[in-house]
Amino acid sequence: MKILCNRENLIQGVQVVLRAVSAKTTLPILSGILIKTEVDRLYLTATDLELGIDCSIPVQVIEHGSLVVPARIFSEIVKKLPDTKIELNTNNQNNILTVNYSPSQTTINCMDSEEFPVIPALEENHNISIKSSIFKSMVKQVAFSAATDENRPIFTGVLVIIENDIFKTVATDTHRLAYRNTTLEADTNMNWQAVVPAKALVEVSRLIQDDDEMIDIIFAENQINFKFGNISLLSRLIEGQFPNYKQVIPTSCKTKIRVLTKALLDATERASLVAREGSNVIKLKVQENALIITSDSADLGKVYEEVQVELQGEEAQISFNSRYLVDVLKVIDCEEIVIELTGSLSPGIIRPVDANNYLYLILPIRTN
Amino acid sequence: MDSWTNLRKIIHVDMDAFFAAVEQRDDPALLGKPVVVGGNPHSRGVVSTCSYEARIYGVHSAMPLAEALRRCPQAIFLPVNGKKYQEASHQIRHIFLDYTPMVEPLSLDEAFLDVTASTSLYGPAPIIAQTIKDRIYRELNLTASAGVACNKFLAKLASDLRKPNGLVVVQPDMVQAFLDPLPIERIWGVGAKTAAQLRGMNVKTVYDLRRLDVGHLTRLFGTWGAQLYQLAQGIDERPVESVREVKSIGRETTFAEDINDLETLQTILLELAGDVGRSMRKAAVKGKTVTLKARYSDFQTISRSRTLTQPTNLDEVIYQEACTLLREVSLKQPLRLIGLTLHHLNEKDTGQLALFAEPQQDREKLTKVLDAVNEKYGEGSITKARLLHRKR
Repeated sequence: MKILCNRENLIQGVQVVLRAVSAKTTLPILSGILIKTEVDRLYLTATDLELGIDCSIPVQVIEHGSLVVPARIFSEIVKKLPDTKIELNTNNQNNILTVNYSPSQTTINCMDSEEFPVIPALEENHNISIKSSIFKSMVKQVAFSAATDENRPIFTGVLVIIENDIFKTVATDTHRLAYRNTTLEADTNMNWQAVVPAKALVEVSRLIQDDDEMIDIIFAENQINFKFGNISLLSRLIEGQFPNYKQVIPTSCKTKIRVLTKALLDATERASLVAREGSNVIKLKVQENALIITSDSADLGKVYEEVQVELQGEEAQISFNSRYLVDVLKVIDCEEIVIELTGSLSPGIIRPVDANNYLYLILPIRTN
Repeated sequence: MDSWTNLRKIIHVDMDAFFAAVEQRDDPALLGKPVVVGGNPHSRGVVSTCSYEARIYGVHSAMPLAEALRRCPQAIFLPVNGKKYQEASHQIRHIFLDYTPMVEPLSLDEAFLDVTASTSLYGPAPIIAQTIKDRIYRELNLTASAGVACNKFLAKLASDLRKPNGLVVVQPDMVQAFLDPLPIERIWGVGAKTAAQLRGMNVKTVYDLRRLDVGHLTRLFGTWGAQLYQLAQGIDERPVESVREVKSIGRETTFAEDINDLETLQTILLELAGDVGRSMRKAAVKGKTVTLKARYSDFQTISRSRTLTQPTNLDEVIYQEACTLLREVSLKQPLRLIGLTLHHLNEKDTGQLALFAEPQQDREKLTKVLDAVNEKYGEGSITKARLLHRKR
């Protein structure tokens, strides 16, 4: 293999695929990046077997070839290259890569590309297109609610549902649940659902460079593939049955308040400062015109916060883990939200006032 | 006895070569011979306890059995007979409880006793200590060493001073004279690291340590420095805790041969998770943090931890977490030991309600039934198919 490329492109390619290189891998080959030439392009690929990312960059191919470069050292070298024409040159007999940045050069011991796992290409008959900016906001508003512990793996994923032109996402760690939908530009004529690792969605969201570009999502039985720009990310799907989320969303409420998102966020964050010890308990008391938030800690002190609200229905009292409330208030774009409550033991519901495409449910904490 | 006014009276009782002494008592043929309790010398276990006769040859507890065999080939190696030692320990504890309810067992063979309030009934603390020693000898035919002082730190130091069958009393006005000549390693909590650092400063004895400035020690060791300073003056306010809170529950196992096969390791974890879960349920506690310990064939030891959102004592949950942690452990080198521990026991139930919680309840119910079956028909009468071929 012999190619010429520029530094910027090479850095981008390496940085993108580096996200799929696991630091703790049991297979040495997975600590590497597969580099492979095609017509006028160099493909870089990395995988931890859960997630695979590939990225192609424009290069001038002089001689075709492929090789697996050790990811960490290669990325360090590439980052520190001078801004000049770079030549990658391999001697395929002994798996050594020479990085030429005239007049200097570095050689790196590499691995055989034959050993690298094949990342399957999915058939493109089940696919949809979605605008990057919308996809990003959906991931931002939903993925954080997925569970981080592997105790019940299904909850580490986001349920993705496609019903014709509606795209829905749901995530829950069983203490809170986030739901967001959007209408696609074109009808997909599809009825499909799967549980996608939240990590994969966050990764895609992070790698999106241009908010106006479209993301192509290709669905297969066990895998899902996201294609955008020069990047393709493939993730396995999580097996198992996602529980019926509709069933747990209350359809009516006894208390309904309207409150400014920012005011509530600030008050909750202050209250959470002393609630931090233990289980982050904050108490909410809904009165005519005011929401009172209190928290206390034997060691630290007490916080009393009063936020203006518009109340419909009964006064109410409920306790939440402050983190679950802060998390959602940070991702809601609307200036005002509605909170719906029914007694102190039923879930609270939070929605933006301006749209009915988002819903967040928090389970309360039982206090005496 | 004037110098004891307003001071606590603490006794530390430490059985002499306990496990080995029990074996020698029960089989007079072993008397006067080097006895090593720990198991087959050709296995990879370590010395649990050894008799004084074996100690002459340089054998000590925690030493690999193979090394013990090398140092003392004529030693008699015995398996650890836990039930027998537990029974003896139980009897000893009963003797303690005749003199004070404030007994803090540290292990099977040692305990702290606070007899401050018992002296008007049973006489001065040294007399109580002697009585306890005599009764242990008379009733169990075993010897114990005891230390009497005004706090736990000094009492423990004292009991260790004239082993075996010793009784050392640290009079309150003699504390400094008692402590000063001792090497710093004798101070509770001073390990190799602190000791090396102190020795580097030419601090060798408690006397040297005591003459350092407390500010200097705090700068060096943080809050531990302040504690160190206190201990060097013989000050230790820790109470004798008769109901000691269990802080963690764990199990570990050393393999007969090093293992690097993931499947085999997982099977072992399943077994350990079952043992840990069972102990937790017996103690009626739940744990929130799971720690996996792994020791490589070169003895390098690492541990990985995860904290759950909800405390648990279910085998499955512990096993799942353990497997997740095992995946973070590189198996480039085979393992010789693996262990599983749960910490943060019985943190108060937060009252956080949850969705979709039914499977948890089902599992709890199932586990309860399985425990009941094992309780009634014996350990292992019902088990996972995967563990069928493993001997317990």
